[in-house]
Amino acid sequence: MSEKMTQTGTDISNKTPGRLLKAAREKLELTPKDIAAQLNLQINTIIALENDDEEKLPVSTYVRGYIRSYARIVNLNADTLIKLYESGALPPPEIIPDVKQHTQISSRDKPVKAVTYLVTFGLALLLIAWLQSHYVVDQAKMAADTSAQGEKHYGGSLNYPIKIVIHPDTPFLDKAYYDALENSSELPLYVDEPETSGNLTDILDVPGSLSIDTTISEPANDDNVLPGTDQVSFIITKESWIKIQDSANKVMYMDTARPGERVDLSGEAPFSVILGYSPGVQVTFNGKQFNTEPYSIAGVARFTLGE
Amino acid sequence: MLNTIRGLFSNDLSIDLGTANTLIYVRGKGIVLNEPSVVAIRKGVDNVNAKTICAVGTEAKRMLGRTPGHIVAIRPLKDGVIADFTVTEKMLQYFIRQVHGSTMFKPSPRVLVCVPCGSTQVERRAIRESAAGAGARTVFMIEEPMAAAIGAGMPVSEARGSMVLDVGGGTTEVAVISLNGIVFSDSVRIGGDRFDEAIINYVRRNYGSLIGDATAERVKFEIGCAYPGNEVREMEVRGRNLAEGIPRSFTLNSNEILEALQEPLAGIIGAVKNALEKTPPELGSDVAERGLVLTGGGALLRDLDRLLMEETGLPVIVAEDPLTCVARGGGRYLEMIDEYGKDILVVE
Repeated sequence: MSEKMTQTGTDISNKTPGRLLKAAREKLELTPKDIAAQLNLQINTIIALENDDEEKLPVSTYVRGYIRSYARIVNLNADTLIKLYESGALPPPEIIPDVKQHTQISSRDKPVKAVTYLVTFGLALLLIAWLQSHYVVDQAKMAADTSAQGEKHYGGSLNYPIKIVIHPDTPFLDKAYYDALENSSELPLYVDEPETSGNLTDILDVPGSLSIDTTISEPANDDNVLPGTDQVSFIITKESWIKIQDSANKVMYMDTARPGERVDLSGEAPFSVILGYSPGVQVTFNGKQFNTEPYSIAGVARFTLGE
Repeated sequence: MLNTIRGLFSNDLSIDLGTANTLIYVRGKGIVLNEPSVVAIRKGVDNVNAKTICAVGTEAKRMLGRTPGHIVAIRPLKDGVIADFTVTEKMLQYFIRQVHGSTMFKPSPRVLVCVPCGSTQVERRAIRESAAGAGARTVFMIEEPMAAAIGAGMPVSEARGSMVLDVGGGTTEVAVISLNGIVFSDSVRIGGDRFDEAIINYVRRNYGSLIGDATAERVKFEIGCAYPGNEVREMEVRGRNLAEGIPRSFTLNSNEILEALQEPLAGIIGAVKNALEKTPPELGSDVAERGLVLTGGGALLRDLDRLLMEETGLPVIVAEDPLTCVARGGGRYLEMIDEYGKDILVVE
C-alpha cells in the first residue's frame, strides 16, 4: 500500500493526467475504444486526452469533466488528476473569476475611490470659493455705483456716462441735492427752455414726470469742446432707434430712445444719422429744425447733417 | 450621468434567486452569500395582520416544520418563481443589505437576477419589481441556463452548440446555446424539491411512516443516487408511524431511494430528450461531440451524469462547483455588460 502511494507520488511529479490515465487503462487491459464507448466520446478525444493534446480538446470545462469520468472508470482519484491538470502548462481556467486575481485597477478599488472622493470634494470647494468671490466683487461694485453721488450710469454698452437730471417739480426730489446742483455752475443742468418745452410731449409737461437728458457729460471733454462745434438735438415723441456718428465715424450715440427723452449732442459735423422711426423724432441741427421726411423710407431715415 | 458617477461607488451584485437557495455574487469579491430561501414570519399578538420578519436564511430554514402557532416559516419561491411577492422583497432586502453594507456612502447597487427560462412575463416582472423594491438601482435579468453556462466556463460566444442542464431546487432548465444566445430552451418544474417529495411519498407508501422535508433532504444528500452502483449505502431515519402515531426508526438504502426517484428523474430525462429532438442538427452534432454539462444543486445527486449518459448516449460532465455556477455566471455577465454593452444578451 505504502509502496503504491510512493509510486503514485513519483508519478505525479513527472507525469501528466493523460499519461496517468493511459497507464491505469493499460493496467486494466482496456482499449481506448472501450473507454470511448463507456463515456460516449469519440476515440480521437480519448487519445487526445491521453496524449495531453490541447489543440484537439475542447475548452477546459469539458476536459475536466472527461478526466473525472475517465478516472472513475479506471479507479483513479479524480481530484488529484484535476489538480494535476490545472497545475500543468495550461492557462488557469477562466471558469472561476471569483478566485482569479484582479491585477487591473478597477474603479471599485479603495485607493481609486478615495482619490475620486477627494477630487470631487476639491472641485466642489473650488466652485464654492469662486462663487463667493464673484458675489463679493458684485457687491463691491454695487456699493461703488450707489455711492457715486446719485449719478446713475446707464447703458453698460456705451463708453460714456449718461446723466439723469431730475425735474424741479419731482416730488421726491432731494431738496439739498437739488440746491447744490443749482448753485454749482459746473454741472450741466437742463431746465426746460421755453422754445423746447413747447415741443415736448404731454408727458413731459405733467409735473412729477422725469425728463431724462442724455449727453456727453465728461467735464474734461467739455473744456476741450471748440467753439463752433456743431450741436444736434433730438426730441423724441415716439420710441425710436437712434444712431449718430461724427465726422471721424465715431459713434456718439446708439440706443433706443424713449418718448419724452431729449438727446443733445455736440461734435464735429458732418454727422451721419440713422433714425429707426423718423416721424417720432424731431431733429434740431445748430438750432434749426431739420426735416427728416425726404429721407424717410418706411419710417427709417438715413441722412447726413451739416455736409 | 449622475448614475454613472454613483455607479463608481457601488458594487454590482448577481443574485441567483433560487427556490431552495439564494446566492449572491459580488463583482470582484466572489460568492459572498449562500443561504436558503426561507423566511420566518412572526404574527402580531393583537393584530394577526401585523407581521414581522423573525428570521431569514439558514436560521429560518432550521425553523421549517418546527414552528409554533404564531410563527410561520415559508419559502417565498415556488417552482423558480415568486409565490409570495412581499416576503420575497423582504428577503432580498435583507440579503442585499447583508452583502452591501451601509447605505450612507454607498449608493444602491446594480443587480442582476437570474430568472427561469420558462417563466412568464408576469413572473419576470414580479422578480424585477421585488429586486427594485429591495433597493436595486438597476435590475438586469438573465435566463438561468445562460448564466449557468457562462458560470460553468462553457464557450457560449463561439459558433458551436453547447448544451447545459441546470437542475435547480424548483425547476430543471435545459438549453442549447450558441453565439451568446439561447437556441432552444425548456424548463420543467422538477427539481430538488420534487426529489424530496418523491422520497417522502415512497417512505409513506412502503414504510407507513411520515418523514419531514428536512429529513427527506438529508436522505437525498447522504444516500440518494440516480444510477445503480456497486455499493449500497444505508441510513437510519426516524419518522412518525402512520398506523401507531408514534415515531419509529427504520433503515433506508440507496436502491430504495433510486426507486423512489424514478419518476422525477424520468421527467428530467424526458426534458433532455425533448430538447435534443428540437435542436437543429448542426448544433446537435456539436453537443454529441463535446457533451452535455450538468450544473445546479441537482447535479450533486450521485451518478446523475451516468444516468444521463446511459439514457441519451451523449458524453455528460458535471461542472466544477455546480451549485454556484448560476451566480458566478451572472457575475461574469455583469462584466460582459461593461465590456460589450448591455445589448449582448438582454432578457426583457
